[in-house]
Amino acid sequence: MKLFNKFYNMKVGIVDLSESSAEVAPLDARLVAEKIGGAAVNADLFKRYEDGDPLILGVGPLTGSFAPASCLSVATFLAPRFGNLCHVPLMLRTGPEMKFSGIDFLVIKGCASSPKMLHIDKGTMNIVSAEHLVGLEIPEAVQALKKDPPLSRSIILTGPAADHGVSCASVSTGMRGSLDKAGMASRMASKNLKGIIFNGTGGLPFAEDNLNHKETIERDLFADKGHGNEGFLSVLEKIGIEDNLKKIIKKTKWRNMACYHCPSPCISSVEFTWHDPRKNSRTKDNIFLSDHMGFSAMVKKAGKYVLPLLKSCLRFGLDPVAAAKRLPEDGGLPELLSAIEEMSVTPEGPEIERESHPIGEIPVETHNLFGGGIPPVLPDELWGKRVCLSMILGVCPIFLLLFPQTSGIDLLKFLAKDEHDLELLEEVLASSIQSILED
Amino acid sequence: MQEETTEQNNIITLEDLRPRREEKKTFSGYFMPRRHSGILFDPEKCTGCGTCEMVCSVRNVSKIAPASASMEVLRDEEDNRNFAILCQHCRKPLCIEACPTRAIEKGEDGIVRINKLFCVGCGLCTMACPEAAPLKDPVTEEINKCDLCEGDPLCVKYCPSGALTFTKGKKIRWIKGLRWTVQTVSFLLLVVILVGTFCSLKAGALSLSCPAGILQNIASSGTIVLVWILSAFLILGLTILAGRFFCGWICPFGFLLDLVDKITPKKIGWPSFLKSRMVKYGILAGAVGGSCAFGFQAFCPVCPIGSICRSYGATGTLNGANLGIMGALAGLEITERRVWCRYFCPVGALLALFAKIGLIKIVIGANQCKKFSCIQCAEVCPMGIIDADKLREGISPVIRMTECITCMRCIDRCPYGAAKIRFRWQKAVPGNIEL
Repeated sequence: MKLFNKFYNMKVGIVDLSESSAEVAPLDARLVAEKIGGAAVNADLFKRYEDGDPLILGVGPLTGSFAPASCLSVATFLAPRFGNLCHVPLMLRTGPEMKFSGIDFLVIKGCASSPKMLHIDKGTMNIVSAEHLVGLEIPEAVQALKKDPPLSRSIILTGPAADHGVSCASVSTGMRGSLDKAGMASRMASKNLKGIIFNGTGGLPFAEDNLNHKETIERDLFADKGHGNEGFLSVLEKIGIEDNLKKIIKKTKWRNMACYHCPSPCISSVEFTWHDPRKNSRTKDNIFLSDHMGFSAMVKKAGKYVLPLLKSCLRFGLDPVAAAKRLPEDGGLPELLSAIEEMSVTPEGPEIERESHPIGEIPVETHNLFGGGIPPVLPDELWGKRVCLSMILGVCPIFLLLFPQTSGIDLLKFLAKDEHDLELLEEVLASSIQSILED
Repeated sequence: MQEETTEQNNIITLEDLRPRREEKKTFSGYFMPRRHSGILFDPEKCTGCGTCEMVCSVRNVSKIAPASASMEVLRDEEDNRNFAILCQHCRKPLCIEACPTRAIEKGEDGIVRINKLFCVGCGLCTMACPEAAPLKDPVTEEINKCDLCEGDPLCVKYCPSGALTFTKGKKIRWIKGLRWTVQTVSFLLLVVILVGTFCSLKAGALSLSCPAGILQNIASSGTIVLVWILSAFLILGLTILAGRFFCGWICPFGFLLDLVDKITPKKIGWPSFLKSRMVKYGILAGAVGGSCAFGFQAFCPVCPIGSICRSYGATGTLNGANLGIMGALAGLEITERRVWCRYFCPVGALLALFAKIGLIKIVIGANQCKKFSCIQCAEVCPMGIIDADKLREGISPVIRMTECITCMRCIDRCPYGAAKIRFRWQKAVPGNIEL
């Protein structure tokens, strides 16, 4: 389908860590014609390379385009924590940087003999040593990577928790965490893959009239309230805000942040002051909040200590939801911080953690299918379909959940040249969504 | 020989291709300067979504390629702040000086443009630019630089959070005209019409006096008379309301210094070991102490403000020692602007104490201030209290109201509206970040 030529590089990177080989192959045009992209193509590639226990990364056709919130890339793998195939959203700038680095899909199979980093730039891939990064906390590791040339525009990294084989380790996009609750970090650690760097120095032409279509969509969405600057708290309100949160907010300064090309920010940075028990003094600090489920779980467990504890989880590359479950019931901040530090170096057995309760009306299997980190903003069956739509097209799932009035057709109009294309794409999209949800 | 000359004549030089443009100084440009267009960036509003880079790259290379944009959003992951690198279209662009092929020039509209025909992509402009705003395209290796989309910047148009705003700059410097008018009228009133009035004036029930003179009077006589204090209150009250407004707008000696400054634009510099602004407080204390010791107002006979006020009219003393002192002090203007006011004036010292508790302040908003690419406020400040070095380091200066004479030259000159008057209790500089 030539329809996608402006939206993809039509290249797939295949990395075999066991062989230390990396090649860039042409992307099967029929595959995108049948599946469109994102999680649907990832699932197909997973089946093709199932023997190598692959980790697949992919983007949707709209990733990096004029479509609102076109930030998404999807990681597909067999989730160590849930035991099923799952699709974890990677947001901020990972999707566009991956696409502009020259490849659309990345298949990583095998296991390296020593810790490695994968560096992708201008359509070429290099496997480099990452031994100097093992054991470093995530901010230190990111700084080390940014110091060394070549440039590192977008980094996916595992932290010391994954290095120590902790099952509730979580991958981090730069220093800013992620929505990985399924064990992508553990899967990367099992492959001896410390991280992936995308240098999106290239570009794609996309369709020129798409800018007008984007304007139309955003005008309709934000007709009443100007631009949709809502921030992290707006999502928390939708999934149920804790009473004691208001006290915490009072003493902090929030600044809205957004992923790539998002008109309605749902993430924030927070400046706060806390008494650091290690320094025994009040410290001015800041944290980037992008994990709504993690924040919600931690605030329920640790109340006013939520921000320092989340910061600690980010440093070690731990999933805050799992960490909150394992924190002691009572104890001051020093005890809780020590518990997190302890958690990040204590390898655990391979037991699979499963939620038994549905989240709102969302079946737990559906929630886990998408990594377990996407907030239940629409707590009904629509949640699964909306998330699936976003995961195929490469648009942020939280944006689509916050604005259910943005339909699939609205998004497909970015791809279709005429009504005939639109009808065809609608059919393909419906079957792709069906196949992901049924799988 | 003739052949050689012809050959030399045939050589096309850079001068023929790209003649340097000299900035013309015109009279109308003095009061109505050229508009200075630019894009203002507010780090508090920026969400880091990168839509600006996206649309900019579409204009540059007809595809979405953020790395090929003429601007860049730096996302500091440690401090979780965003900062946009974009061309400030400086008044005196260093990139123009640095470009070996003269590919960059500043147009009549104030926009600094790069001519890709002449650009060889050497990157010297990026090195010379304090903001490193000319960006090298990683694919084509060409230099991309903001040209404000010829007056309708796409980044501003599509910024979803309103962090970018386009300004065409100010058109008229009206404060300058107003200040010179007020200064002239005040001079005529205090020196020519109401002779000798600054030191002491009694018009019916109304009594006005120089506050420093009253202080010396109290010290010399050893008595406190309520009427004296009230008579000094006009100037002190004005200082509490509007800072050292008297020094900047009314003082006849200050006006004289401003006139001398106009005829001596080049300064030879004031010795650095004498650059202590505390000296004037010492002189004030000395004047009060001297008055107490000698039993008469010790400083008033040599006060240049009093001297100038008493210098005209039938009883005027437009000669002798007063004129000599006044002339000598005015002559200091060749070293630095308002040297007397900065370091020595005891009247200014007394007013500075009251300005400290004044109701207003002048602030320079970090979000609008272009810092190193402008520095015009530091250049025009007659009191030298705006630190140009701090601006060069990218830090918006904080103005000490005790030293500020509220002349508002900085407000008048700032092309971006960054310098403003605020009440003391208002938030000074929202989001002031030290880079």
